Amino acid sequence: MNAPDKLAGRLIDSLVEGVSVPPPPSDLVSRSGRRPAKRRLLAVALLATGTVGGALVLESMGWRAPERVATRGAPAQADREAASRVIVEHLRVHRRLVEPRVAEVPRADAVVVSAGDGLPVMGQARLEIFSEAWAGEEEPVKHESLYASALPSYHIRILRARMNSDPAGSALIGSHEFVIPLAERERWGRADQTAALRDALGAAEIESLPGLVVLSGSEKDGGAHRFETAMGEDIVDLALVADPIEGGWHRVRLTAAGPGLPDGDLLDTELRVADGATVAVAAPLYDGGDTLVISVTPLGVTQHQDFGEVFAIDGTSVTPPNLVEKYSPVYPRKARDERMTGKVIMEVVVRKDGTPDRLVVIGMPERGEWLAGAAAEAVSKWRWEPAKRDGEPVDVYLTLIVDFQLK
Amino acid sequence: LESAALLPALFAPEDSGLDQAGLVEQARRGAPGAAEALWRSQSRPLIRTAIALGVRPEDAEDVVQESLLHAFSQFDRFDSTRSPFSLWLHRILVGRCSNRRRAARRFMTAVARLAGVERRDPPIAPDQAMERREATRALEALVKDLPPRRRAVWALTQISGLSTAEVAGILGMTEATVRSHLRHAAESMRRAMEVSG
Repeated sequence: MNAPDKLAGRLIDSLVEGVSVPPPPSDLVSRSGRRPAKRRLLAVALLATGTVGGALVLESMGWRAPERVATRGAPAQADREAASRVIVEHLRVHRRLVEPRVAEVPRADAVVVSAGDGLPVMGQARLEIFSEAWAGEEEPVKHESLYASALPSYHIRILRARMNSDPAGSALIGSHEFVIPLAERERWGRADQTAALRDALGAAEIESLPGLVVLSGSEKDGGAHRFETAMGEDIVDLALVADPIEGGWHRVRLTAAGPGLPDGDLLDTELRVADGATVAVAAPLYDGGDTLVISVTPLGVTQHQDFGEVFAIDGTSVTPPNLVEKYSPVYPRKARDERMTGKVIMEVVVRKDGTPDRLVVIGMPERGEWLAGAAAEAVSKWRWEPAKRDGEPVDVYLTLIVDFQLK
Repeated sequence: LESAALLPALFAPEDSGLDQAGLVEQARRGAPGAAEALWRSQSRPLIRTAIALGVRPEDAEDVVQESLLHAFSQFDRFDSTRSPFSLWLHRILVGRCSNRRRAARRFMTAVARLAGVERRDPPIAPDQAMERREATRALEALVKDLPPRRRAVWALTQISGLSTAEVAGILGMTEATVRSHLRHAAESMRRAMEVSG
């Protein structure tokens, strides 16, 4: 310990001397003696997906999170049935399958994920892909682990804006927190959101940094997502807590801080954002007037909004959309440095006008947030010739897989 | 020394992890005295941390009491397999201290703006002992150049003895950032000490 720390320690000790230690209240035992709330156990099963071309098995993961305790071992029959109902309902809601089916998998450990009050949720689970399993093969031909979730995911984009001298810009520089709601027309996948944010900010230039996709997590169960991004010389630490609240809204809390900033509390703000909409928060950086912009888009899986009829591709009456404009995802540097590879599985609705909408990340490699972000950003720019039903363009669900591999 | 040895295991020092875990488990089961012993053993280290974080000594008791009450009311949420009890308490305390500091700062700024004056330090109660006043001033002079999060990093590592990994977890930053804050903190405190002589 160096001299200033020693001095500080002594001063603090002398101050502590003068403070009386608070006595415990008389009902302390009754406060602490409260038993943990009962948790409902859910189990899991075999999911078939027509689009992945095989079967997905939600298998044991030995993964543990507070409030959602996962337990190894076979679940009770009633739990399996409850889980099956949840999964069927989930699939029905998202129409990933025309007829969702759930089967028992004798050899697989079951995932037992407790769901508190907020059913239906499956929590996170490891997915094992058995590519030939649906054809009745016992042995998995291909075996791969992914993390999948029925929870909403959040697409976070990080941008650095150079402000021009107009009023919007200078007003922004003067304050720590600005919330920029984007209009309906700027929904995910509908327009170039970087340009939309540039206009909303009144920025002269805007540089898009690698973004990411994270799954829902709440502060109380320690589910804040922490990540860092390079801002020139500085590393900025970001933390996001996001969870769905009622009515198709999400509560999002963002904090950012970095050692190179004059006041460590750069940004700490809580927002509400609707499913599929985007909000952005901007905070000035202190080196040369640039502004850090973080936008959050819930890639919602809630059922509150009516998006009109969306068809499943069945190969007969509905013809699949035809991809006409494709951009390769940028391999995020962080992911490359850490040799992260794997598949990101997403589902989108391809609209009649050929744009993607309602993206849901349904599977990503463990710690694959940056890969998922890169995939989501690329897919948002893809364009299709729409699917057709009886010769007329229709909205369809489409599952997309982006495979990140390093040579 | 002898009397210390005679104290029941319940009053084990807070830094002996095993005993603390045992106490926590006993408190969870509702063993008489265990919760109180935990409360008593954790109060003083928390007061120390609160002051290091920038809570005024006269407010430290309140903040620590609030944090302990909050912790005990949420006892069923505490997962001893993830972190020691004292670390969990520190996490709660840090949240409370920063809320309080932030609220106070906003309030003072708003008042100052309304009054059309620059913000000044709050007046010191006249009955406060001279020594404490001096110690507070000396401490504040030493850490005056630390922005809030850097101060928190410094307080939790250098004063409360948490590891960089633990501090990174509490403050939501990477370990690299914690180390970087520490370097900056050491530098500015050394300068502050030179200036004050």
